[in-house]
Amino acid sequence: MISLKSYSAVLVQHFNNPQNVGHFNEQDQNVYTGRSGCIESGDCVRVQFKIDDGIINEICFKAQGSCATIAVASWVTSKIHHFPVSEIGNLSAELIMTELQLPAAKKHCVLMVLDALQKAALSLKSS
Amino acid sequence: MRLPVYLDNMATTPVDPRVTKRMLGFLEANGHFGNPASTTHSYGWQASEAVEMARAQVASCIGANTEEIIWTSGATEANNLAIIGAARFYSRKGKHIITAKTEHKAVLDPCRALIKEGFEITYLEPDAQGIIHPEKLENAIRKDTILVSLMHVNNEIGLIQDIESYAAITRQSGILLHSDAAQSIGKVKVDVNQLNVDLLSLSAHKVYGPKGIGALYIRREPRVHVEPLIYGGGHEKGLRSGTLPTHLIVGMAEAFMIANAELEEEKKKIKLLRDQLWDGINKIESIHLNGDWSNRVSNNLNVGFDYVDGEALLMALQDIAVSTGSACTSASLEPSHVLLAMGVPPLLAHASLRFSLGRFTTEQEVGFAIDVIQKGAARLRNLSLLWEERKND
Repeated sequence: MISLKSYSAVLVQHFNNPQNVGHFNEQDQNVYTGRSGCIESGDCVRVQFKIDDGIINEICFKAQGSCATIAVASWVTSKIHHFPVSEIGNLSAELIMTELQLPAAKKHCVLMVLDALQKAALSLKSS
Repeated sequence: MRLPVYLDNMATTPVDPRVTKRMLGFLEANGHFGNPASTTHSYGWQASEAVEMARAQVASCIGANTEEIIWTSGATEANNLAIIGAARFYSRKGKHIITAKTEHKAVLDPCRALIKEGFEITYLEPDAQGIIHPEKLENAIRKDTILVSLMHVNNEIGLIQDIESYAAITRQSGILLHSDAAQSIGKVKVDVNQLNVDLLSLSAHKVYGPKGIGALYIRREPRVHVEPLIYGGGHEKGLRSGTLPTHLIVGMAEAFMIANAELEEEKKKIKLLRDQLWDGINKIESIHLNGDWSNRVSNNLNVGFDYVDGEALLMALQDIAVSTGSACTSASLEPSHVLLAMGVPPLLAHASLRFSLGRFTTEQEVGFAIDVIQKGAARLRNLSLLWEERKND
């Protein structure tokens, strides 16, 4: 098991006080939703945002998974909030791993949150 | 109230101040610090007397004879000495050993190590409550079975197994019965003749004694043999060489004497607190009690929480010290082998926590823990996508 002691202060802060937890009605035209993960494995995340003039003006997530999954979802949604949708492509797994000082074994949590975010962005393009 | 509130007394216990006081007399220059093996002066004699008195005390706590107790570094070593030692001694009789999937790693690993020496191991399956039914043992016995190792009290679910029934089967078949009783002392009455075991592993630190000391009971009537694993001086009748740690040994004996004297009173007190904790946890939706309720030691709860992740749950409950059998490395979940053997689904097993109360647990701490657990579970479920979907169903 990854020792809980090995998590960085910034990760613990995001886990203890996650930002942007919530739910938007998927039926709303301006809500873009992306999901990732596997329900059977108990690790999954949903990211949703609303757009105003190309800018992500509202964003939220719900996640089930380890501390890292929750903290990454909180950090990523905070990071991208109020930024143009096009900035999503600039968020790399490496950047997130570095910012949250995540152990390599938790990279899958980062990839899952990024995947959900990218799927939400894709749903915007296809709409 | 000290934070985090300690509810992990099946992992280890703090040393009882009465035990510490006893131990201190065997450490420093003005105490009995001598080597018990030194036969040429009074320092050694005094230490040796203390060790032998402690041996008699530990023996009396389990209904054994003094010469049936061998000091070890703990229950892990006692399990190794019992299993590997007996297997090697009796290997000409047969090379088949029976144990259970729900045993502690300190039993499973020595068994596995013996496979390299040509032994075959049968692992008995528990039922959904963790119980190993005697019929399963009976059916698993072969002509070449020489040893059965089944624990007395399970360290994860606190289940008290029916050792007497196992012994009735092994005795009739002429097979040795070893039991890991590391979790038993201070929680249930242990009498080697009532249990009818041949080998019994004991630990001090689970019962408010020091870490680093344990013992193996080896029956003399009928005589049971084990081959030593540690050589170098012929201590402990040649079965376990190494200078005896007098302070730890007297500490273990003191801890055992206190536990035996206070057993019933302590059981009652801890059960009240444990039941209070369960009442509080049981108010949370979608939780599961793992393991049989009625045959459980009074200090244990093992609870699975649906719709939360085990690691996140532990982190959310940082104000209480509890444990999980789970391990999470990379994307793989490795839940408790005990819960999995009982058929608990992997996700639930991963999100299961063991709460174990102890002598020093207070009502205030239990009340605080209930609040932390209820709020922690609610907080994680508020985050949980699966919980939201379940609520919307």
